[in-house]
Amino acid sequence: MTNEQNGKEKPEPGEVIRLSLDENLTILRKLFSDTPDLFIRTFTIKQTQEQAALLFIDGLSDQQAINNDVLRPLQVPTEAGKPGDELMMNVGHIVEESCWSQIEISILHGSSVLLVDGRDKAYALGTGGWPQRAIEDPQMEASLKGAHQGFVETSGQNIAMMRRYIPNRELKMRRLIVGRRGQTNVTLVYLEDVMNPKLLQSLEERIQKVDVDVILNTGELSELIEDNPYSLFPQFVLTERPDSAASQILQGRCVVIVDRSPSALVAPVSFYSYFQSIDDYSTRWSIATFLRLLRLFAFITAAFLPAFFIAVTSFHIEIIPLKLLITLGDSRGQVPFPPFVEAIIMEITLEMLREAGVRLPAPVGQTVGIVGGIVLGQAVVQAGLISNVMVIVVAFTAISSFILPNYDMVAAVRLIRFILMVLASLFGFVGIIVGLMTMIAHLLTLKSLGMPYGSPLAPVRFADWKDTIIRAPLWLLNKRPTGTLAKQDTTQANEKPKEGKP
Amino acid sequence: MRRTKTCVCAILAAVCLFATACSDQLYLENAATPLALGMDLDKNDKFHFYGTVPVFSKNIRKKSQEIAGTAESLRQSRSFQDAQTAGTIQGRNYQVILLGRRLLQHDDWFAMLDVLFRDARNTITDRMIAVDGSVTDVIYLNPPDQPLLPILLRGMVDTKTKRSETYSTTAQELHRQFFDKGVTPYIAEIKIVNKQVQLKGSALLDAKGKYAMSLNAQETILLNLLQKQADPGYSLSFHIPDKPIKPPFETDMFSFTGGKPKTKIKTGYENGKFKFDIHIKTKIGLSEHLFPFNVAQDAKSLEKQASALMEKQIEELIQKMQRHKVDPIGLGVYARAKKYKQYIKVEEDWPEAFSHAEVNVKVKLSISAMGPVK
Amino acid sequence: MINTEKNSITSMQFIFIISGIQISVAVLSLPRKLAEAAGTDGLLALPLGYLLNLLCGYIIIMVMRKSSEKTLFDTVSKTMGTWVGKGFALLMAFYFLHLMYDGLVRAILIVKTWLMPNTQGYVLLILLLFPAYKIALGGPRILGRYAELVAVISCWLPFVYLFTLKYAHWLNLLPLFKDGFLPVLTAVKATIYPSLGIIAVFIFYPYLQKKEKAVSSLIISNSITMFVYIFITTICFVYYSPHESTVYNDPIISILKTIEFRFIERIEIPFISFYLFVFSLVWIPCMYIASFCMSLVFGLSDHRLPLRVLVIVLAIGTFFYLPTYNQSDKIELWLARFGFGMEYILPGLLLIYLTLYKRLHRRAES
Repeated sequence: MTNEQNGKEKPEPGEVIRLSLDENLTILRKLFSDTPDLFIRTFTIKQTQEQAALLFIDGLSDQQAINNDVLRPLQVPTEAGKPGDELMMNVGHIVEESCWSQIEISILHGSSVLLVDGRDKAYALGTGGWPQRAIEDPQMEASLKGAHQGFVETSGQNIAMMRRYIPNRELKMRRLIVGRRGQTNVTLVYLEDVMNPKLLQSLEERIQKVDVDVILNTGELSELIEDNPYSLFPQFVLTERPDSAASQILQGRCVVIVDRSPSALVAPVSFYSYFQSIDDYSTRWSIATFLRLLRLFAFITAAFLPAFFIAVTSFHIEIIPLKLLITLGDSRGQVPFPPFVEAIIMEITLEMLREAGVRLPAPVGQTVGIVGGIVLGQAVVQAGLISNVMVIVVAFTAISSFILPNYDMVAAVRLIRFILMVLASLFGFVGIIVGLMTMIAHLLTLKSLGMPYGSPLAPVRFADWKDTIIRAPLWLLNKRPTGTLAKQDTTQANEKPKEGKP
Repeated sequence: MRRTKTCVCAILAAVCLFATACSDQLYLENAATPLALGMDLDKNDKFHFYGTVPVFSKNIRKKSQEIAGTAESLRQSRSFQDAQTAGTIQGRNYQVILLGRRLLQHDDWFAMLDVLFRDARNTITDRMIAVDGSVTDVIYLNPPDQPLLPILLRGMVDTKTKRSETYSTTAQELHRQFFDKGVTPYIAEIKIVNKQVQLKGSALLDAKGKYAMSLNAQETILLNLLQKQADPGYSLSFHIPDKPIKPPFETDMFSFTGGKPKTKIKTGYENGKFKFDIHIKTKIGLSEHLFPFNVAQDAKSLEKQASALMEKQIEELIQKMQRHKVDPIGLGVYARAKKYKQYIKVEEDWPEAFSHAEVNVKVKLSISAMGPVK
Repeated sequence: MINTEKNSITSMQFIFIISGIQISVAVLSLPRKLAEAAGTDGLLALPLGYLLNLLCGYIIIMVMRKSSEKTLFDTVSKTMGTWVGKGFALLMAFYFLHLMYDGLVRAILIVKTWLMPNTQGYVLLILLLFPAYKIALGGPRILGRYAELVAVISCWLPFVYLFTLKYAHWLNLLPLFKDGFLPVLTAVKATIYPSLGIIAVFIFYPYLQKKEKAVSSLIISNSITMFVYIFITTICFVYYSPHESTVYNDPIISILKTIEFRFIERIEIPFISFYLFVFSLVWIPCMYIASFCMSLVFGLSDHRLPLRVLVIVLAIGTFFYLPTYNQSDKIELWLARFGFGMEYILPGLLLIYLTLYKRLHRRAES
């Protein structure tokens, strides 16, 4: 009802401001009714003797800047000027706007808007200064040798951090606005002469199609533009590290920065992108290769080990080596549950502990660790509820899943583990293999931004193996991955460093 | 709409699968997995089976349970075996199969093992062990100071095979030996001495599986050399003649450790008889000689003496085997490969042809190490 | 009708699809069949079979080169009439159905024998159909990637067989040609069934990215197949005694039982499960080809509908009837005969017909 009543006096979209300041202020008050945090400061500009009003939202704009750089210069008596003169302000970022809708957006995004009586333009001043946190070490993707700067919630700063790594004029951006109410700034950052334009266009189209109220986080955006949202696997990498984002850009990928979200989205990616970490490039290639293989192994154990255990103890007891058979039999002999139930109980406990640990504040979190450690490690076994081999299996899967550098992939692994456990308890090894086969079938058909997700294993691209499955010495990595269809595929022409002769 | 339909279909299919699965499930704790299988005949030539089943519990002192009974065949007796244990009997983890002497004195006992090969889930890597005596004694032995009997026997056979002192013939290998007409089977042999299991060496069976003769450790090593199976590290001892003996110590003993042997077998056919020339060449390291001896000077003569002694022992061994009409060396395989035309005529009764064959053995030892003592 | 650009396959994928169809389940019984025909001399029949396959593969490629249209079916329809074209597609569909059914039944029987004797056959079938359907739906490109991936992840399998060499008796192989040349020639017959699958070239050739490499790809794929066969057969013949090789139904699996590792007592159990990947290389492509041919027969736009029907019919059919081991052997026997006609004779006839047709046509034009 109220909407309709006000609607008559509310400006149409695209309507321009009036000349009279009073009229404008009335319209504004209608627009922003019940908005106590909107400040309207009216004053006379000493320079030109014009009536003016400065509008800004408390808390979204920098009070100091407004006082010192806008209000003070405008109110200092100077030599007489005439109305219509350029105004003296110490602000760098001034945009002249005349549309109401534009003005509205500017105010809501933290700019202060200067309305001057008799002028048909308003000045949006870049005095934005919303609550910000300092740049900190990334929480989720800690690194040993990499930079210690993580993305923050302001897209401008995030882009700046990336530009520090690639100060090149080919680093281009496309800015899109997403969300009807949120009006979130979404920026696509890419290298013009490397990124494949078709992929870029496809990504842009997908983001433009998104029609929601507001995007609060990059994760939401990623879910809305994924190729297959039903899949368990993440199809875009979310990173909070400017250096890994820059490295992805250099490989011919596109990074999407979402304002107000401290993580950037990378597309297109493949399954193996989730096993890489930025530290791989700053450590020696031999250890980096080892770590990558270790992660792959960890993925396999994290997904398959409990299922394997169930299959062995409830279907294929013949493959257990003799000595293990006897110890295993001893510890299983007193457990009242079948292996599947035993495994499910333990895995669910593990998942609970993990969730509890994530949400609780650090001092209480320790208690969770102690309770978990003692309950899981000792009491359950002593009480004869769970066999000790099962505890080892669960602990091993937990450790394996901690090794994986990407949280989204770990989440996928957690779910896959349960599916495989059910299959293993029903059909033994055949169930596991069928599960694996279905997973492979799914990975084969899955795409990330239209590019094959399984690359470089399916389709096999041996050239890409040296920077996915292993990490070859840097001087050998002179081609961009083929999985991104980069326009320019050579990155360097380095040769192996010559052995110095005395 | 279509998506919901497919979902419903998928769930229905899943439920069907769930309902029909699980029929092969067998929890570890519900399975009774005998680790040893014994087969023997009693005085009335009635077939007996024995088994040792590990007991999965921490509170029970005795770690194994013995089952036994008479039966017509192994699988036929399964329900009877089941009846004696808490779980269901599974033949999936056999470690050893014990064969009593009385059983081995009959032809064609091997057919009794058919279930091992026919039921795909059974093991076929179980070690075949002949018992000099009755299987009952071994199965119910349960020495308190030793691990479970099957583990003990398996370990005993496997480690001694590394030293070429016995054979860890698996059921599969025995199957191969039975089916290969150019070779006769050989398996490990044990005996109970003073309530202790003791490894005797090996037992040779004839082509039909009947027990033919036993070999002690030294003879087994020699046979291994002939079969080209001996691994370096085997140890042989000989009495060197014309060395002083100071009773009660037999100070004429001479032992050495063999290196990688080179055995060459030449096959020929002359005068309606097969002729085999076997050359064994190996480097040896002295392990002990109880008589005074100067290695640096007299190495050559010792080499010659030892070679001659070894040659003689091997020749005796071969003669013994020819007498018993067994060919564990597999000379038939050589005959087949080299003299196929002549072999194929006698293939069906190769051991007979072997017993008439002429076998010449030449041994050449060379001392390569004398140890840290001069 | 079909979009070959969007679904193109690389030479490597082509190689592995063809090799996969050939090897999969056929390799299991090959040593036994060779031994039955010629004892240990059966090994010598393999190179002869290899030459035969190369010739036949070359003829197939020549047919594809000669066919002017995009696919062979179009060519056949154009030169012999629509109904003959449909008949040809139906024949192909039937042949590949046969091949697929044989592979599927074999795989299920093997799983039933070695792993899950008490599980119903149709349950296993339904399980196997899930991934198969998903991959076959993707068309040649996904099939190619799958074949390639399976080749990569199973390339370690042969190395395990090397462990049996500890008990090898190389003398078993001697003497060569022990009963003359004739048994070797009869053993060539046994190599036909494991070589079936070259004719899939008819379907996949149009999708091939580099058609000029087709001949070399086919040679490589046949060489891989032959190398695997020779390797496996040699392993079996030197392990088992000559009269023993014929005793085992699937010596390839039986031989695994004898390998012992300290950390795993019986490796054939995980192996057979893993072999399902290799086995699947025959039924998944054949499933696709059969449904693709059916879609041609009925003039459908793509292979989805026939594939769905096929999957459902298979699932329901197996519920009521699953061949026994002996029946599966019979199926195999028929398949060998059928396949001989389809793969060794039919391409030759087609080649002759197409050459004559072109010559006559040119004469008629001029």
